[in-house]
Amino acid sequence: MKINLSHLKSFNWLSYLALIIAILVCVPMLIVSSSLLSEFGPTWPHLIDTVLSDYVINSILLLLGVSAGVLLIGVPTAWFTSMCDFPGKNIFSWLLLLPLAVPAYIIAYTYTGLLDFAGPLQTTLRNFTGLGYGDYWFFEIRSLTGAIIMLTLVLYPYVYLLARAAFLEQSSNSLEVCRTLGYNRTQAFFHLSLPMARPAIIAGLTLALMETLADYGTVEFFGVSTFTTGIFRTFYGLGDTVAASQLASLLLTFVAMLIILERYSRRQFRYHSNSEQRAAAQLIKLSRKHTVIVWVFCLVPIGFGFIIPASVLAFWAVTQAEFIISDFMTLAWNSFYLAISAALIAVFLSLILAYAKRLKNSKSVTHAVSIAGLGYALPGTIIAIGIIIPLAWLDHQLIGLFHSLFQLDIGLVLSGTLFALLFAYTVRFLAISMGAVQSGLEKIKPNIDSAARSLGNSNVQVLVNIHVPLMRRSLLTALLIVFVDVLKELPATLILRPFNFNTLAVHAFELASDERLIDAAPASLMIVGVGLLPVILLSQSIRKMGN
Amino acid sequence: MLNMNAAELITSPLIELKNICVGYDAQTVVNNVSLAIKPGEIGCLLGPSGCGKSTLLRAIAGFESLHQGEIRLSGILFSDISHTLAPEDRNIGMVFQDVALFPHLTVQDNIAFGIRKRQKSERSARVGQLLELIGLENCAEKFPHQLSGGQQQRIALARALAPKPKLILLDEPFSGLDAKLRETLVPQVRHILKEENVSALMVSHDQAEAFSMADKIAVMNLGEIHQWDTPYNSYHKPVTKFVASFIGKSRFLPAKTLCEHCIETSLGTLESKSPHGFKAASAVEVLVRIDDVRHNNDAKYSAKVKNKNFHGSYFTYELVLEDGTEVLCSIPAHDQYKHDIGDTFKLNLAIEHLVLFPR
Repeated sequence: MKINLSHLKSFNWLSYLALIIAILVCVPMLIVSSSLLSEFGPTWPHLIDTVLSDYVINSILLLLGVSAGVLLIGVPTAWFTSMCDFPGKNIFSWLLLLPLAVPAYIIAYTYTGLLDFAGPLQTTLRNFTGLGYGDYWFFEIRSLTGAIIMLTLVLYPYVYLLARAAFLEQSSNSLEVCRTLGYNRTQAFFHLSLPMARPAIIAGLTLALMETLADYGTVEFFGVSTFTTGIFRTFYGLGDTVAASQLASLLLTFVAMLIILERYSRRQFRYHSNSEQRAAAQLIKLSRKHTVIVWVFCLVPIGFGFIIPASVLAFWAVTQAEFIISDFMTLAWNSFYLAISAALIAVFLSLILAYAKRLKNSKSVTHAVSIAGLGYALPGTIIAIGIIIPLAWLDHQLIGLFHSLFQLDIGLVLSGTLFALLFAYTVRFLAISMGAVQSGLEKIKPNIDSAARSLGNSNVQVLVNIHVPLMRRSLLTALLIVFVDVLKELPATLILRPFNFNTLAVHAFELASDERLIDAAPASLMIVGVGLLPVILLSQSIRKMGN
Repeated sequence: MLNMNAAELITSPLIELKNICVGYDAQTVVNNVSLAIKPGEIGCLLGPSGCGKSTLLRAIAGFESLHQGEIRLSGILFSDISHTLAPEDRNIGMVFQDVALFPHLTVQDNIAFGIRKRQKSERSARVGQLLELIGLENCAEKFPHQLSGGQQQRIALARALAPKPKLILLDEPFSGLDAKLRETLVPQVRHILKEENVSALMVSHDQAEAFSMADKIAVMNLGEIHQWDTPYNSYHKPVTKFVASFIGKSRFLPAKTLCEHCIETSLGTLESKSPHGFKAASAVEVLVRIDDVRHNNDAKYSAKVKNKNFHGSYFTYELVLEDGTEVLCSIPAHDQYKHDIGDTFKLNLAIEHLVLFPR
């Protein structure tokens, strides 16, 4: 009896913690959606008359375009690198991840610098042909199409990663059964591999689309009016917090649809995954002709998504950009410790949530965990607005309190400090660390817990002594992904950063906004470079998975 | 004799393997194997793990190419050194140990997977017929994960049967299941195969499974087939020492031949009705099955109990003879004599057919 009681006690302690985390993660979303209850102010007729339809149409077109793009690149490359055998396959399988290190706004700045009127390409073209302004047609990168291409180039790895994992997990036996039932390799791909990987592909797609909805830097720079730019304009330009928040809750409905789709396909994962016995699939040996086609197919996204922009950035940073080393180091340090802190917080909280769920799969804990996972779907803009409103209110209460009690002016301790930023990052990125942590934890058989408990370990000891060492790879993955994402994050940082506090991302954005694209190169390059590090580490584990 | 030959001629083999070798890189996994299965016959490749039986099966399915020899189905060349017909063009069904049902499809869609080009009415009729045959009529709409292991295995079989293949290959189809379930499922599967009148070749490492399933058994070791025969003959007339030791519980006793019919062992002189085929005074080993050893208080030979094992209705004893060789003996559990480890009791041999191997 006693043992049971102590078990219950530790469960309660953890599950309460899980509930509190879930509630905190919910705050921004609740604040934003509650704005729908407040009165629609005078800004609204103006919004509806002028820009709202642009926001909706452009956002939808952006989603459709990016969907097509990431599927067309992500799925075939995943299949080539998982099921085919061709020279260079292993190199391609991790090179294809590299664009993950490049934020969309940075690739947008780079291609704008390359392709706009004053850029090297058009200048060379004019010098050669002697044509002048308006004499010729040239692709306008700063457009909706441009934004779709930019976002596709950096977001396809989400589809690639998940689809590849799904293809690799498919048991070779299933494919062989399919063959014995009269399907050739191509038919087997369309009738079996693809449908079986569909939940994973859709999950990857929804992740890419959530990023698309969250993007601010690219669409703002390209002058494409979407929800995110609209929220910024309403918040800063019109100074209407309530209307901005109401606009944000409209965006939230888009997000909600994506969440439902994502959750649905994730639920199907369970049944779509194969039995534990997994023989390595026989790889398809490609002929020389097909190898060339596959090479081109893989090299295009790698080249345009990473090699070209990174080389151009490096060239600009080394030869032309004007910057001061000491200022730059401060920026780098700011970005780095923010990202590390946020990653540690997110992984720690994920562990608590995942373990609480493992200990007691009660309804309340399960709900808490799935709510805590919603943050990832929320664009940084929504989270920032949902955080600045309550924190500003709290700060004003605190200032009043401290002033009346101690005659102290404490300033904005919550909304004006890194607290707000870390809070926002945690809300936004908790879900991705959760994903990695949960999958790591699920791989550990429940009997291992029971064995450790029967050998005298408490629940917390099981977590520390057994789970954490066993899942250190998953934990590391979680840390890395959050780290990269925080480093690249722009809109929430723009809104919530303390006065005079700059990160690499904000710095690059500000310079780019001033049309100093070349001067933005060092900061951009740094983001890409640091972002590259975890991507390379991630690719190592992927290479292991492939072999 | 003449009649039998005529029958042999009429039933020309459905599938024929001629001197085939299969391997990976330099390693030969299947070595010079020949085999023929008649229409409607159920065969079994029986052998320890790593003996090449699964590789042989995969070669028949078309997943492995041959280093030597040829495979023909109904006389048509399927594989030889230079060419391998693609698995999808063979119309050979396959069932795997891990079932490999398609997790995203319902039971009926799984079964209909191989007959997608048929007309819809024909398709659903075939699916319905197979569901009835496997006794899962009410599971058509369910997903594989909602079914038990035995049900899943039967569906995998139905899926393989749907296109009416001439041959079904079963790769350790029962080894993922528990013993109890296996006991009921094996005869069911045999019944289903016979009902569909399809030839089958199964891979197994379990002789009980092979015995109750197969018409003919190929005992394999180290990539070679030692014997391709009926279960009865594999047990009673093993042609190699490996077959004798792999099938059934037995030990070998050293012996010396005395005449064409008789041998001398440490348990006395034994005589067989037919000549044993060894010259007089050759050194041989005689196969002593567990059921050849009789507990007999009047016998003049005695043995010491080294180990004993309870099986419910009987005990098996590991016995050590005076000269140090070992034999096995089973005694009904309700027998009046109970022996403990270290005890000695009297025994004699009762062997009808002498199975001898050179020493």
